[in-house]
Amino acid sequence: MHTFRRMIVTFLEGHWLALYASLFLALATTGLGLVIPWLTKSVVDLALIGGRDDLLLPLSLVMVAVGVTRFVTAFLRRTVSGKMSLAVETDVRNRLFDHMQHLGLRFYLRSQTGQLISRAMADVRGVRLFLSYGLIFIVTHTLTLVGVTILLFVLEPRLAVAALMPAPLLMLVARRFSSRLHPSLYAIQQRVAELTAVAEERILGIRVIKAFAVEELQQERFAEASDRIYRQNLEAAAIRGRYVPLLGLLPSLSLLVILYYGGRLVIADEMTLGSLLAFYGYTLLLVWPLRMLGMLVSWAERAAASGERVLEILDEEPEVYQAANAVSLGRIEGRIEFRDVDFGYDGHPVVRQVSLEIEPGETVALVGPTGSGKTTLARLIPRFADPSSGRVLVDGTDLRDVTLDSLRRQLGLVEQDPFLFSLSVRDNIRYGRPDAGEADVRAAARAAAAEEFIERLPQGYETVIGERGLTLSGGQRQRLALARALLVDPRILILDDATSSVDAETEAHIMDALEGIHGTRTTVVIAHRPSTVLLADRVVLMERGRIVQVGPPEKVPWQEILIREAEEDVQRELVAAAREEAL
Amino acid sequence: MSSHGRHYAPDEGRAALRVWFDRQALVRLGAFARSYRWQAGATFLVMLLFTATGLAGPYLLRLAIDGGIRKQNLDYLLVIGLLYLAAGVVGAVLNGLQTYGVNWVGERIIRDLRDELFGHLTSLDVGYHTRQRAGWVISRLTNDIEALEQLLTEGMTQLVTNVLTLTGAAIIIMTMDFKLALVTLSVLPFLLVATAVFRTRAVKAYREVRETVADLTATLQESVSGVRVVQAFVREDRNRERFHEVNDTYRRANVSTVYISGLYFPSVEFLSAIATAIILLYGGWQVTQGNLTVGVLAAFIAYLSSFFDPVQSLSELYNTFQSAGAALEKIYTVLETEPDATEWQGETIPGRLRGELSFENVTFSYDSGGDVLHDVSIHIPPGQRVALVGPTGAGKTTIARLLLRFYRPDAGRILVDGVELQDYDIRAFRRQVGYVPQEPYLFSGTVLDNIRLPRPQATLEEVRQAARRLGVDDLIANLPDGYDTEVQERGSRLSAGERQLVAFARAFFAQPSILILDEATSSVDPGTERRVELALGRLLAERTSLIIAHRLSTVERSDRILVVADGRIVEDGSHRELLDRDGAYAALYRSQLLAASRGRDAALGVDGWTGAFEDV
Repeated sequence: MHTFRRMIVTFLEGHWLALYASLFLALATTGLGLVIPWLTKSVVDLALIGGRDDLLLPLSLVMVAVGVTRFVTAFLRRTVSGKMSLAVETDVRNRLFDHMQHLGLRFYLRSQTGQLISRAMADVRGVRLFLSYGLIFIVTHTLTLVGVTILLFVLEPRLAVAALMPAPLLMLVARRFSSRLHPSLYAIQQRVAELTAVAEERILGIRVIKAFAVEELQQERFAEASDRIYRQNLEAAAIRGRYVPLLGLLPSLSLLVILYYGGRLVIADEMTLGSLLAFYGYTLLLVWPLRMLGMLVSWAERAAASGERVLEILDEEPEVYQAANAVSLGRIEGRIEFRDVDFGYDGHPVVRQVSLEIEPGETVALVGPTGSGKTTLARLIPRFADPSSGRVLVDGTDLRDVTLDSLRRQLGLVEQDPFLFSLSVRDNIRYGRPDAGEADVRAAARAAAAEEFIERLPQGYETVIGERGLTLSGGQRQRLALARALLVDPRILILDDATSSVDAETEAHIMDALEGIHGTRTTVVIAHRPSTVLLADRVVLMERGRIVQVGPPEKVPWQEILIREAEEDVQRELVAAAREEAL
Repeated sequence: MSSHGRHYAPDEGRAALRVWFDRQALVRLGAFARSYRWQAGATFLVMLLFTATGLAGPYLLRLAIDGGIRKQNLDYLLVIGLLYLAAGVVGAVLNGLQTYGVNWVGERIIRDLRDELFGHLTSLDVGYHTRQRAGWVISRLTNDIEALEQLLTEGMTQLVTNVLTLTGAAIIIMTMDFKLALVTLSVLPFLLVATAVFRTRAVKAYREVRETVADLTATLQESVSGVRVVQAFVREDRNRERFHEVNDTYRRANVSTVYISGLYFPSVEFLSAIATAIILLYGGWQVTQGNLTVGVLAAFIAYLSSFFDPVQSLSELYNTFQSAGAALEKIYTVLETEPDATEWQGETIPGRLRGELSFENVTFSYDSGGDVLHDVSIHIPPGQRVALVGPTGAGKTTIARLLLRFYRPDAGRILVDGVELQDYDIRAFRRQVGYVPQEPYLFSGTVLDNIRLPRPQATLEEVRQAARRLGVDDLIANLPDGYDTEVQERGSRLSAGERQLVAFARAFFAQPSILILDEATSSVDPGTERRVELALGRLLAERTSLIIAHRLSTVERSDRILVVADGRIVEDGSHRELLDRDGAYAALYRSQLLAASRGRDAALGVDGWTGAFEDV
């Protein structure tokens, strides 16, 4: 309930006027709707049975007038509340997006992309639908319920009691139905999502499936997923099959009472025939609100859950804070210092007690087995996260004391599996400097050894790539990412296994190009290839989050160390395997 | 409803109708329904009876008023009351049966169709999957199937019950009072026109919403996936502007739907009020003239909803039919695609292969262009370790793919153990080939599941035993959750090197007679590479292996080196022989050694070759 109130207050802020207007219009529409059965009653009692045929035309005209007015109020209600709720949805999503852009490494390490998208799309929409329809339904349906009950009692109290008897039951059944059905519908969605994942992976991995000749096994996997959808659908159908008929039957019990008991009252002359017809009409008016009110409870619960998921992200504190008194870094020289840096998330220590000083203009290669913490260490330089303890300094200033913009604008980052956007090749290259001229773009592409393949693309620099465009090979993507980083002319360049998919010869060209500006820019390279590492001024060997050795490449036998360790490990494994086989 | 077809995106509409009335498509869909024809027939009967009970209510109201209340006949009133109760109870039971029946039949047909479609897709050749974008194929399995499901369950129920209700109610009111029925039905044309206009506009508006949603989701997806790039290049402000713009476009597209439905639904209610007024005015006048009873008048008012509700539902149904028709057409284009002969020809089940490979004058080209291999002949005796070297695009990977029989040669033959490759039972043959591609593909699930893909029932111990023999068990055990590490979609949680490691273990776990490694260790650190190297040394003795590599160290240790260039084998021999021959390989080797001494990796890359061939 607390979340609920908070959700309404947070999300509806700034939209109160529209909310009140739509509530008022909804009340007017509902009220006018209640007039119609009464008019029927008047026609029957006064004109048809009472003999006042002169009233027929005026009453019919009143009916038309009510219809027209109601048309206007209903139209206004729908447009006002519809637009309001869309404005709310847009606002919330914008806020969510802005917030997510500033969340850091730890947040994205523990969140799955699909989950975040679903919160920003489906959950925000869920909240919107509830706020636009749910809240208004609650008000109008309650009003209908109260209004009809009063009118029925005015018409004939005894019949009203009898006719309204199934009403609470109807609400309860509707509530139960809704709370039973929704988990089942949700489960169907889950099953469908699972099947989609199964299918997607198998279609994308069809070559592996064929190479291992496991088609039949995969068909079984798919058929299992497919059968789970079928079963879940049937379960939902069984729930519907049990509740929907009950929801249909309960109102007809009321109608039965009206018909039989009301009929007796009319015959006994204790009620008019028009009143009986009005009873019939009003009872039918009640069916929908009663069902909806029952369902609204679980609708509200779901909306609250959606709201909570959205608020959870909005409540997420950005782990990287820009201090209020942060200063803007001037042009940096490029000295990087790690002082006793520890980093971990979710209880996994990744970097332990790392201290390292990198001189301006120096090229440092981080080497070591996968999982040794090289990438994480490199990601601390652009301050994607702050160390759990210790400090990272650039030109002697703690990163926590400088503005993020002024720091990041002087860095270039290229990752092993770089992310490119669904934009043209040109716009991807000038991602960090959108106003860059053609000559600069081409120069960056040339330095990254990307010019030749770009010119061979269907539309050259105009070719759209990424998820909704042309698929590039791993090596091509790495070279574009490198061009993108070089275009901003960074003071510090971070290459995280950035040329692993580029063939060695091309890599050599790239390194030559980078060497041209060697000495003016600080470069941190993570690499596995000896050729790349040899270009560095110093090699930093990392293992299990710690720095093991530092020194010039010719003094640090990192390859030999890694190879020797591998050989020892293999030896141990083989002994173990042999022992096991002997057993 | 087909008369409204021209209002709705004419092409799609026509395609939908064509398919819907395409007998062949109907017959094929019918084939899936055939197994359940009795259940379907019974469900239809239930629907018919259910609709009848629904229509009974207003008629009983009329009887109660005219025969019971107006004539002061209590017994008659009681009988009508009981009939009313009976109709309600029977209707409820039928309603339940109908819901279950429709879903039982519909969902079964859908399940069968889905399984058949997936089975067919896995039987199609690699060439098909290369030509056809994965996204398109997956959309057949998900979106199209869902569209058909919508039609077969919800759509069928709506179609049958609404058409029956509409017709039933019309017949009933016409038999009660023909003239009043005509007057009442005079609002129907307005309702139809309003509905048709609404449909047209709504279809367009919702299409726009769908497009903007796709745009919005894609923008969001990119910003989340690329968040590090956004932050690193300080693009937050620009992206915020862009996102707010897209988000606002989405809002505007939705606003037009608000106006459309804001007009339509109140219009329907308005028409209903008009119809009631007409019945009261004209019917009331007839009652005062003694031409009509009050009961009939009441029944007419009660029957009004039997016209308004079905028309609204049926108009929505048009969409369901349209998208289902289009879906069916697309599904059949897949089902009617025949797999290439390479996927089914041949029946010879090989015993344990010795691994003798022969290419005899093999020429091959992909659909897209010129020959990739020209007249290639190779003979590899069992157990030999062969390295394929050459520039990118020379045809090395194509040789590997032909050996896996992903494609058939355009000319020439490939023989394995003296039997033509095309004569083997394809699955039995592939089970004996281990393949590690350059960018290995993992399935979401654990590392363990990925390694035992060739034999999913294998135990953890068996897998570990194999990994130990390969010398990588400790590496895998050191992953965050060891063998139970979830690799996530396409192995995204692992680094490229770790993915190669797992793919390598997987290939060995299949205990292949022939092993093909396509740049299998390009992303691993020297330590891991050494492990792989050691494992190859131990495990390749009894296997024929084809290794595509750029690193000299790997190439040097092979029994034999084939130099591939421009789709031809240009040199063939051992490392020593090729050096003695002083050709392209020797030239390259020397230049690479020189580079290595200068701090360059000894590698055989693209440009290195250009130089090497100039020397020859």
